Amino acid sequence: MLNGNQKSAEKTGRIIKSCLIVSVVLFIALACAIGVNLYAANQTDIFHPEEFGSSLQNSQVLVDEDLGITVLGTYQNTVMAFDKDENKLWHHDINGAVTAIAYDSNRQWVIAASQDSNIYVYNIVSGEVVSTYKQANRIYDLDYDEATGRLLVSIGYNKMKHIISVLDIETGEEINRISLKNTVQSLSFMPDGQRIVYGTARGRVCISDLEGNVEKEVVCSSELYAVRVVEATGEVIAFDNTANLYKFTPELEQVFHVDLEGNGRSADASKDGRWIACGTREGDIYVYDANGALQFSTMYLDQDVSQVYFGENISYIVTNTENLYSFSTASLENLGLMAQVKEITTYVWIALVIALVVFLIITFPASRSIAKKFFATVYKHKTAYLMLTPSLVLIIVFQYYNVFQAFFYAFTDWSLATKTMREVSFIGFDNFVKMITEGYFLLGVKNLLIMMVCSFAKLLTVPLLLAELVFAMRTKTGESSKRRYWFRLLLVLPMVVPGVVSTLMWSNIYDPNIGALNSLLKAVGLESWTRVWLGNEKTALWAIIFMGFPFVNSFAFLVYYGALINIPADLFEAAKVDGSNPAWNFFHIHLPLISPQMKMLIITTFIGAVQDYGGVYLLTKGGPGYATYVPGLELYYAATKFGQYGYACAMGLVMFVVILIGSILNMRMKTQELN
Amino acid sequence: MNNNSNSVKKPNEIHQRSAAAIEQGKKRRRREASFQIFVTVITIIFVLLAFIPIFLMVFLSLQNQAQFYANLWAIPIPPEWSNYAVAWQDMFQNMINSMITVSVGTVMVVALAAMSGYVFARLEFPLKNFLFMLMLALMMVPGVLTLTPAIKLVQRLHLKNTWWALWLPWVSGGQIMGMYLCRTFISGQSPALFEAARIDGCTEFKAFYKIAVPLAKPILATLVVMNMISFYGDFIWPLLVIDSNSKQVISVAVQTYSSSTGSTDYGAMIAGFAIATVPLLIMFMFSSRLYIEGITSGAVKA
Repeated sequence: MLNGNQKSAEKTGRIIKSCLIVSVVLFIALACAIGVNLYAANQTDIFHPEEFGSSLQNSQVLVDEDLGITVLGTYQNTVMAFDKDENKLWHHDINGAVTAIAYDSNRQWVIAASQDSNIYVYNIVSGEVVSTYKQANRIYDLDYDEATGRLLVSIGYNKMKHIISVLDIETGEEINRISLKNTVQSLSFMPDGQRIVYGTARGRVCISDLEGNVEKEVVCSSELYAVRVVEATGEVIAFDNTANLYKFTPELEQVFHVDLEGNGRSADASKDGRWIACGTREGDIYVYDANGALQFSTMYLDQDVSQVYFGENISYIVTNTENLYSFSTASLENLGLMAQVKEITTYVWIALVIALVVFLIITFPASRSIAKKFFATVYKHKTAYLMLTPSLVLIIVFQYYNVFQAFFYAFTDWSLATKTMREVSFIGFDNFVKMITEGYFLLGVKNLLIMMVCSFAKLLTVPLLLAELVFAMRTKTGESSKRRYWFRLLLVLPMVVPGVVSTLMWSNIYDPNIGALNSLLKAVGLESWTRVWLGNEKTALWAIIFMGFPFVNSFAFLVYYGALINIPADLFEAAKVDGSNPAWNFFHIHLPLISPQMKMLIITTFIGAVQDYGGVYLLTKGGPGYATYVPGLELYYAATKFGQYGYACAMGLVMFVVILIGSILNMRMKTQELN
Repeated sequence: MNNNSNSVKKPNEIHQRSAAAIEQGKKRRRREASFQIFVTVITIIFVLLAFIPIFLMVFLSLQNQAQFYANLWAIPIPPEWSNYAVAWQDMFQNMINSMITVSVGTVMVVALAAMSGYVFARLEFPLKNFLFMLMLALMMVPGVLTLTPAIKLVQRLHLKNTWWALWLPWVSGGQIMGMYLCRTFISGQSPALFEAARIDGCTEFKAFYKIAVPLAKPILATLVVMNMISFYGDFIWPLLVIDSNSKQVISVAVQTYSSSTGSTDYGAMIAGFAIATVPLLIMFMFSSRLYIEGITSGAVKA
């Protein structure tokens, strides 16, 4: 006996000992894994936001690393230069967005092409204007070949007429002109300076000589936004609108092709051709090596990438907003490896944490027995949990996550202007103050109240009346099931007309010229009553409310009817004995017994009405003026057209609180009745 | 009750009374008959009024462009059938898209709602009430609250312009009401049935799909119809998350079609409305009986 006890005690002691050792080992491994992971994360976090040029929409960047000068071309019609310490050196206002910048390092000339049809040549140090070459039309892209001193310019007249000009940099004289039948968004000299490569709106990449004789041609998936040449090898990089990235040999034979997510915007290769980077309209950046192996990708920029610039040491990611990110070209060296290390170590440390927790739980008898009980319970009820899992996962990801996001962002200035999440800042109750001060939201509340009262009235009258009517149908022998059946079916049938269709149908009925309502009024001689129903401030709101006449709400009708037929028949018998009449029946039997259903309908109508804007959106878009504006519509516009996401969340939050209070009041009423 | 006290009556009195009662009964029956006619007539009036937009839709869809401006109420002779051909040509693809997205979405919702409804109605397990409240609380969360984050979430998950962007939010939202209705309905099923099955060695999951589901047919049909109608008519969400017309659903297509054909071809526009109505009509023909039975069964209440 005693011996046995000792043995088992010894055994548990051994288990505890070995578990402890394993735990310690795991802990050390975990520390290492986290360390490696953090190091790798640090190595892969290569993009550093730059401060200069803020509050402008950047388009193009160019760096002279020897002089330490960075030139920035923006969408807001400026060209600027900054020195190493980010002090502004010079600044020129021009008349159009900058679409491309090239550089002559011998002469220290910056060559900027703008949508205002001019090519500006500046001295990079002094900023003085060397010359301005006026072109015939909007310039899409530009390239410069230093050896021959020639400029290559893509000029568009319209979708059907486009030219490529070869200019002399000294004089601006046109040396060659190539006429094309569709737009060229991007072009480039081949390294020899005697041939060019360009990509068309039809998705073709062409290599031609300076006279425009096409030597080679290859077809990509869609309109090309970036066609670049690797200086060292003459290889061609192409990136198209549907985000297909191609690399071709100088003979246009495909080296690799990847199909990325989103819409392609810009791409470039480093001068030695070792790295290829591309950016999409959605703000994703992908970096590939020369063989098309993905080294790195990031999605967090969340904004249009207008240029990827490769410099000798410093490279830039230029986005369509004020954000500019730099990275050191050298950091790409072991980027691929580090990205892999980071990914692997992330899994490793998660696995280690789980293992560590498991072993720690086994080590201590108390936690072990709790764990045992826990798993036993879960296993015992496994069917229930398994069957609930899909529902719960969906709810957490697509409902609760969004709810918490909305609660959080309601107090921030999240909007189109703050596209990176890092920039979103906390602004307290400003959004809620704005709702009151700006007025549109309050304007909508008045209309909403009118509409809501009317929708309650609609809900509580016609469907209930119809349910009572159908319920009252009887023959001599008893219930008239046949008549009830057919009327029930006919009253439910209009429900099959989709909401959009019936709303648009009503919009058609209200049409001032060909609408049924006005033409009916004319036909019966009430011409003076005709109106522009939805275009008149006095009638628009009521026209929307009147929509759906005679308000046969099929669902409500069925619910009322269902409640009525489920009233036990002996209640009526008993009432009959007491000498009841229909009115007494209605108030003392029907109403109390259908009140649960009525409450359900009232609360769902209330929830629906507070946030509804579909009808208003389809019929009047809130107009004329603000006559039919509702809060939901203001929210919709804020969330889409105006891009005031934080404000939209705040409005959603207010509506949620209103709905919550309404629901609680409704439940209160119920409990009071029970008491 | 009061009558009981003086229940002992003379035979003569009884005879007189019954004669009066017969007379009264006749009167009552006549009144009842006229009341029945009155009830039927009023109901018919409402039915006719409710059908006005539908009649108008069919009527106007057969008119040609000239009739719209000349006399709206002229009987379209000969009917302009080409309106339907034109509209069908333009909306065929969207129609197919809607049928696929709506039916797949509905199947998912009903499957999930039935499962979770069954679990909450029949099974006992730890955290049951917490999980139930977790789901039910979402009934009070309005769609507008989550609209903005939902758009961003769909973008971040790279679901934009795919049908998953419709299905996942539709299903996650639609299953809640479905779960609640299924739970109420399945709670009403006799526990003895499940007890018997359990004694016979039936697993919980088997009990679910062999007993609970077949018995819950009316409420499941109700869910099918409710969700189909709401998904089919959903307009704002597809407008926000589906960009390309080749993937777009019919409700958005109807709206864009009506604003693009607009005043140039009214007949085709209205024919488009009618075409968009047909799938739900067909679906309803097969499921109306079960749907009505489901809603009127008493499961729908607060």
